[in-house]
Amino acid sequence: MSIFIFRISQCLAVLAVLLFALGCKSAGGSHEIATAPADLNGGLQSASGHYVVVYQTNPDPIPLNVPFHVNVMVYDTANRSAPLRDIKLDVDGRMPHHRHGMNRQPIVTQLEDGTFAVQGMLFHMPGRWELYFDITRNGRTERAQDVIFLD
Amino acid sequence: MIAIPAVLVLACALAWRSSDVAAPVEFSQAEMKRLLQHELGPVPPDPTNQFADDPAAAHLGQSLFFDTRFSRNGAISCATCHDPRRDFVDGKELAAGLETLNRHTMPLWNVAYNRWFFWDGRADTLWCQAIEPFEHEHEFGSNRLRVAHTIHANEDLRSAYEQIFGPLPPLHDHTRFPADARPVADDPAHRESMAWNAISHDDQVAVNRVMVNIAKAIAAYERKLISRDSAFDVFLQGLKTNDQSKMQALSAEAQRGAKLFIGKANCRLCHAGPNFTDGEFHNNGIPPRPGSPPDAARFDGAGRIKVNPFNAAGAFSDDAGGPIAEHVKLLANSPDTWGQFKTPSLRNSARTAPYMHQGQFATLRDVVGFYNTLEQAVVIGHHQETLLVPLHLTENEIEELVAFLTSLNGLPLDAQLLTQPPSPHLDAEKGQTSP
Repeated sequence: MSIFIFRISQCLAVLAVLLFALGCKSAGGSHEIATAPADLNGGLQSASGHYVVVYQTNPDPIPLNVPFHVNVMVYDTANRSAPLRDIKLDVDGRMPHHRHGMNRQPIVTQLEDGTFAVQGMLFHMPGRWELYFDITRNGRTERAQDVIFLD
Repeated sequence: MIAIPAVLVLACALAWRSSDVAAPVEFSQAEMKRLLQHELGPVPPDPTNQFADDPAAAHLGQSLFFDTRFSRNGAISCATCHDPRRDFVDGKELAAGLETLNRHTMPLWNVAYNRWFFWDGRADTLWCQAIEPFEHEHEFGSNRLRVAHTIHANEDLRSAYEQIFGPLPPLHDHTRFPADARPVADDPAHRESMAWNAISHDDQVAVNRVMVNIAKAIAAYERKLISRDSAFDVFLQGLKTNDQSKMQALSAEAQRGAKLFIGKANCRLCHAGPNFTDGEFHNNGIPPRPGSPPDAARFDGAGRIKVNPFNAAGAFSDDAGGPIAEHVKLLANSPDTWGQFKTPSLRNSARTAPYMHQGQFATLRDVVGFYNTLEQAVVIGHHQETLLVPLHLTENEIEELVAFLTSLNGLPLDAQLLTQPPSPHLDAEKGQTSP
């Protein structure tokens, strides 16, 4: 099924992330140690600007009504040398115009190299989805989000 | 001389109408892409059921599907509600077994493609669904011990069962396996529940295994109930290959209906994908039947399947760690789902009236009429509907949409799948001597 995906935010850094994403398998499979992308321009900035989120979905692009996984790396905006490990990440999806989210609770697993493997996402309807990355560090949570159109 | 102009006017009017009807319908690239999302692929595997594609299991399952001996009154089978002569529904507003239930019978067409089962999704596999009617007090009104004893007591059923699944437990020992027993979660004082609790754990597992095997056989049969090659499917193939002769399988009226379905009427929002259902749940404001108790629907169903010992992630699944099991493991049980019902497939829908979860609408035209005006829509639960808005379809457009829905009727099934086999043994059907 060919699905049209439209991403509003700039995703240049995502292309660099493909270097490590190529070794990624579905949740539970092996995972290569990732290196920090040389250029984080275009990653998702969190709401208060403290973090940059870089992510890659599998499959890519996100399919309509088919489960997908996400690999996520979160960087400190002030120091982008390595992905952050002392954080908690929650990932969710929502259709604001429909006033509902996903019918699933995805599982987020932190891997040794700082990548977060998110298992079990499902965007079950066509339309405008918002993909939320909630980063909690030292008791405070900030959100970075992306917009996905599924047709 | 006066008559000639009148004839000319009439001829022009007829030509106008016929040219309107015969005008080729054009589809944009975006529309074609949307339509092709409804292309039906092969039946997906069910790794949770190792017998899903076993011919002998499917044959036994077909026999069991029509067998009334498993009901308390000896008169009810799966086919009572899912009547093959009526496209696997009963034509009633509310299903009726031993008693009338509170929901409409769902059709069985293409259930092999489903993610969830029942209107509230309280089963996550075909075999998980098939277990419940046996013990539902208003359906068969039986229990798993009685079901197992029925298999054991009938030589033909017993030998067919054991040929596929191996030996039955020693059911002749009534001290271990009483005549009637089942767990009753909300009534531990029920005599059948007390009898169940008196059975050893290992014997309970053995009986559960018999129940599961029977359900897996029925599921193997139900996986064969596939509706495909409808006029719309042929049209899609023509659209894909630019074959005009195949595209003509769909009338111009139905083609205009197809445009409405993916466009102005926006039915595809929920009736998406190869079977015209997203397989998920929505609250569309359909008014419940007067006097009906509040129905939590999906909110209740999601909670139940997560704790069901027969779910895809449980001990009786043949793939408890696989992708199908992932659905129930990750399932959220949000209060937002209160009052949501499963999107039914639209394949063969023109043959399976009435419609909606309580059979509220008698015809497809009534269904389209509801969505067209939303005059009858009610607020159910806390849901604040934002998706559904009046469509303002014209009468012609309503007819076109109904014509499109009618074009989703598939080719007839092999007649051999529509009746009870003479024997539960597949070998007997082939003329071979059964052991």
